[in-house]
Amino acid sequence: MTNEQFILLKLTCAALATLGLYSVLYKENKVFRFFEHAFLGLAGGYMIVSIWTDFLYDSWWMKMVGTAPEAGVDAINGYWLYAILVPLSLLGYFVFSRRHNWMSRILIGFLLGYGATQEFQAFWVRYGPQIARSMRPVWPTTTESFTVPSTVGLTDPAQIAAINSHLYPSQALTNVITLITLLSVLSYFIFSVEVKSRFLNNFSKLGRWLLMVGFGAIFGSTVMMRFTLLIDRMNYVWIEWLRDGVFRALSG
Amino acid sequence: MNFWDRIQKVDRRVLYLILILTATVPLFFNKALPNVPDDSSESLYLSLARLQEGDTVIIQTDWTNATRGENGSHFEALIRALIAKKVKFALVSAYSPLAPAVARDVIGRINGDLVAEDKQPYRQWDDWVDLGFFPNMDAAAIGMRSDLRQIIQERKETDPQGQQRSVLQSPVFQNIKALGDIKLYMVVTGTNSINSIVARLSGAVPIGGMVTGVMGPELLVYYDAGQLVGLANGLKGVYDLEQMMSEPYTYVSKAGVREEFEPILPGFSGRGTRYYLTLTLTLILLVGTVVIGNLAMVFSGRKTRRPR
Repeated sequence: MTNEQFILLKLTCAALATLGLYSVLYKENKVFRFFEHAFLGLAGGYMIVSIWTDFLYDSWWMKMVGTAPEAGVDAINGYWLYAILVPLSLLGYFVFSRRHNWMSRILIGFLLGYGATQEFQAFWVRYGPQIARSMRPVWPTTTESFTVPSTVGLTDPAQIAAINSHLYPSQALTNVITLITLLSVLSYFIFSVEVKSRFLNNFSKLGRWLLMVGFGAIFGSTVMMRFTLLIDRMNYVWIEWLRDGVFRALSG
Repeated sequence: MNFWDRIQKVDRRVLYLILILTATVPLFFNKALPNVPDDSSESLYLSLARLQEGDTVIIQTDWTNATRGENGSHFEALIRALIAKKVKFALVSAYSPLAPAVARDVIGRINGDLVAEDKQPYRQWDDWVDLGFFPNMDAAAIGMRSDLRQIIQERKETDPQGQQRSVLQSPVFQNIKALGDIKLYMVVTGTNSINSIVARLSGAVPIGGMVTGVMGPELLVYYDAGQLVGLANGLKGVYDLEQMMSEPYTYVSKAGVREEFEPILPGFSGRGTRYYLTLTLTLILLVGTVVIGNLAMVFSGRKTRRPR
């Protein structure tokens, strides 16, 4: 088998898998089920091998057993303490035993403690700059123009800098909307105390509406993403496989 | 049965067929649509355009063929840009063990194109290395921040003499002493793995994102707060980048400082350009069918009862 024939065979297998999986659009069938299970099996098997070769072999096994001296390379001592990780990890499987599942909690407790500690630092790094950024000016510094004047065609840096140094009413309005959204959505999540103020109740209702607008935008973006996946699969079947693979091979 | 009743009873398989045709036929016409790049895409492009020959970039490639339509196009545009600018890069994966192989396939295909154009292929070890899969990226990122070299020293690559050596000895990491020497940390992801990178590496290295349309809206806050230097969001992000890469680009800062960039890949037209017209038409179809479906609901004789 030549290299071109092998590539075409690979492309054909993938195209058949794609068509097999899409066949569920017509109705539930055995071809779909076959490819679904074949995919799960392949991914699971590959993952096990990959975790060993890409990670465990170098980062755990080789550190534990060390290496013998080779031409020009010194021996590396093994650290047998790494072997303790095996029984520790296996404790996790005691979750299936009614009598001994307390042992699995040792491991879970360790992981929870580790995760929670790391989260302290992560929380501030992730949200600190966002909190700082949410403090925005809401009062315009100029009313010469409602929107930011265009700088296209300007060559004088001082002139461009002067335009950009102001806060225009349109920008201030955007900041006001951002601030109202932020505060109203935050007020929606006040569950600890009973809110009796009519104003606050209406304000948190506004937060709920704005949240729904946000979810709608995310949903629209999600639909766009799903369509892109379909387009890519169609590109694969019709162009990469059929036109550039099969037809090209047939035409020699 | 009137017209609207008949519309209401159209078999869903007919709709699937129309959708498949709409998602297929425009692919054969490689037509670019008019476009204004998003701010976040422009910022990302600026970070790429400012890279110099010999700089090193880390690319966290957290996608597989499941999101190839968007992330595959992101990754391909990114790799082509880095190769054109002779920037060295290291791949790292955290989401799926399948991801490194998928990324290597794309680089292999791009190298095939370079050879076909009588150009030098981008060589593994000399120009790029694969650091492989890190099952716990949180821990790996914390380690990278404190001592990058220690975290990756055990990762091995085959040198041109066929010897397995530590990636630290490759030309890619020749001038890299710490994470701060990395010019850009790009995350190409179909998941939320970029969250942990922002949480662990923000401030230590410039981070850029190339994400799917699902993740994009959620991540714009990171861009807005300056935690990401740029963000290519979904297929629109790919299209923006491809367009900017193929044409001369001028950036004028708020202080009025002007930077001129030559096109990274003159006349380049990739998957983003090819898919964008098709995506636009499928979205028009979606909006059209939603409108027609609702009209049919109103005008047909069928009454629907609202759930109480």
